[in-house]
Amino acid sequence: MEMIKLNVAMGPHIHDGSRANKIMIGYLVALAPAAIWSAYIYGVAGIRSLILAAGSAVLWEWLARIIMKRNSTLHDLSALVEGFLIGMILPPNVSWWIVIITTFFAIIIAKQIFGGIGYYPFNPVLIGIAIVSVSWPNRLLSHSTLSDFSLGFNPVEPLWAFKAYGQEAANAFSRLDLLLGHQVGGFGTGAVLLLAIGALYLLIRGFISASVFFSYLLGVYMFQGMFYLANSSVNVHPDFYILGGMTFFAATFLASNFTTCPVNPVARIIYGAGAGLLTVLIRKYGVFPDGTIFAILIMNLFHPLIDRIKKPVTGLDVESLQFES
Amino acid sequence: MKRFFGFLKPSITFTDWQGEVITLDPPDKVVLPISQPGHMPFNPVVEVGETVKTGQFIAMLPSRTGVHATVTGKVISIGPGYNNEGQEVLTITIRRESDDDLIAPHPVQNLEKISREELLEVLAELGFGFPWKPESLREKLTEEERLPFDTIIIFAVDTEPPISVQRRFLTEFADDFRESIVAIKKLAGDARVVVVVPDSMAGQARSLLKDVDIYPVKNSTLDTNPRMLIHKITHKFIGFYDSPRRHGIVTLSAEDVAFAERCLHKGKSRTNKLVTVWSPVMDKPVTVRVRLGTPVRHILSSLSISVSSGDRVIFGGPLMGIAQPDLDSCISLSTDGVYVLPASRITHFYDEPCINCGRCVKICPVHIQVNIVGRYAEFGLFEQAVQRGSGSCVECGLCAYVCPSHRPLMQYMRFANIQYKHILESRPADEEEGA
Repeated sequence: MEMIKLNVAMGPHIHDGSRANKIMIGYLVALAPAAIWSAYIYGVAGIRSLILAAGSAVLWEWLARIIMKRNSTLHDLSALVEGFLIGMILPPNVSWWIVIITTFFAIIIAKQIFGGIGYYPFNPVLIGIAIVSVSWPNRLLSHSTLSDFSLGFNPVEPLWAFKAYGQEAANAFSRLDLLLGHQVGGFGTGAVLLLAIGALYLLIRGFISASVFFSYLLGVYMFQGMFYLANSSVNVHPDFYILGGMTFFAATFLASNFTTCPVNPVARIIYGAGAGLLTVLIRKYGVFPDGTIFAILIMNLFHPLIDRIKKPVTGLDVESLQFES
Repeated sequence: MKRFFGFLKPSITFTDWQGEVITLDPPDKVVLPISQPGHMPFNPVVEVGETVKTGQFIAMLPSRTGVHATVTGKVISIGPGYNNEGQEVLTITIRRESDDDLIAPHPVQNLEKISREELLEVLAELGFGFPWKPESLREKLTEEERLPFDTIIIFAVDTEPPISVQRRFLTEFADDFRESIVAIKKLAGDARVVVVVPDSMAGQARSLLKDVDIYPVKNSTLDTNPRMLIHKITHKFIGFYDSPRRHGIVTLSAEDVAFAERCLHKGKSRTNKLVTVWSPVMDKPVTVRVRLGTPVRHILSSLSISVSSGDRVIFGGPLMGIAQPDLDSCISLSTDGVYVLPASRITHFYDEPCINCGRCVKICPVHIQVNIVGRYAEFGLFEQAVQRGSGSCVECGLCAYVCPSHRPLMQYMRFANIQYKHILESRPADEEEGA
């Protein structure tokens, strides 16, 4: 009789077919509407930095894996997505070397040194952006990079304008303009409506955590709402904080980054709301007009701690185990 | 199996299970285990070369249940073999030589008047592993088998799709089932009897069975997981290092229960088993009636399912089933399903990094933080893994099923649990006393 060698393994023997790189493709799909709209507004200058960011991020990842003598991880597309995110956050027409330095810090320092996808304690995109925005704050101001452009709308960063000139400057921005992306800021962070379409897609596919997304937005809205109710002559209406700056972008792509956010439901809500509170506090009391990046980085620091808030494991009696060991 | 709506929990449900039971021809040989791992085997009452009839008593298992020949033929070997879980046991191989020559039945006359002791003796000899043992056997029982119990849970649901074996006994063998339940109520005395049924059959079960608790369950693997069910019914959780019996819980399958009455009435031992077979070449799962000890090769060739090298043949379902090393593996009392995966459909798991997406945590029915415990197990920190609750794993397999990094999460849990057991066993005894 013919000898048949069967394949043996432990169960489960089936899989639902999800893959990490499918999640990354989902991110790219969600980024696409806002990116295309921004490319239409800013033209080649914006596309240039977007492509430079994506390309250099992939290059750094490839180089890092070669130097570390590890298997290539380009197929998981995480470097590509991180590059695109950096390109979206950096202002259009930003100096090319700033883009390269950002991706260097993001991919090499914040990601690959810790072991690559899944191992980093801080979101690499945020680390990269934080380092360059602390180092060259003036070069990262959108309206300074856009002095040669005629855009047809108020070419000042809304949050910067509010910080510098107060309530009246903020009210000069119509909410509809902010919603449609007629605001300067990061290359692709302004088009709130199109980002919302992307976010909806990601939420439906389950590629971002709904609890982080909504608790972050609600956190910003509620805490700013408290300030607004307390003193509406100094504090701006919370609408402005949701629509202006990169709040919505951060809620969709940065705060809900899987690796640096908790996994338990309650912990996720605390994490999102905490990031929202910190965003509001940094915007109100900090130096930076848009505090989202630092707020989320600080919450990244606490995520393993917050993640201990969870339902107890059914039937686990830790004391009896400790007695044995 | 792919889901577009990723925010929903995946649920693997039983669908399309109705359909005739097909009776297969008896195989050319059967292999029957006559011992249990961890117990000293008894000598069989037949010898190599002896001719046996269908239904003839051939050996007693250490748990005091009889083993019977399931075909008529010659005993060709008695020796070591493996059970479906890969543990070494003593087996008897019988080659079929003729059509069934049934042994003369000894039906129990007057079931109502028979004494409890006699009934238990008959049941044990007929091959039913019920928790009540006749007085004559009591002193030979293990410590665990002597423990008292107060809850009897009868599973008329199957552990996972596409198996549809246990649920059939509510419809197709309803009378047997009902009468058995009455008898079990009598034997059980004060103990609570719970029958777990699919919720679509709850009404039917309520009208059929009086005086027992009917526990309807929904239609997905998480609802029918045995350990989760025990937890929901009795509020006692049975971990990896525990057994239901230590908590006073006895579990029986509907098949055992229904066959008991049938066999008592006819005075025949049990030779058949229902098995659901599924393979991608089939339109829908087929439930077949086969002899106990039938090699899986016979079942697959009878249903014209071809298996080649590199395929996977699984006893049980796709999530919790056990892959078999070869086609000579035999159907035993605990085999409810045969699941064939061709090489092209096999899922591979890798040790890729966890991306912390949290899907495993979301799906875990016992709230283990699977992403962390999986990492502990991966890097050999078994004590931490157990402290974080890997011992509570009910092995539903859904964590690995949903993992986008294809990490073998459930496998890691089991690995950590087994390694921790070894760690405990390898500790010197005096250290434990000192603790």
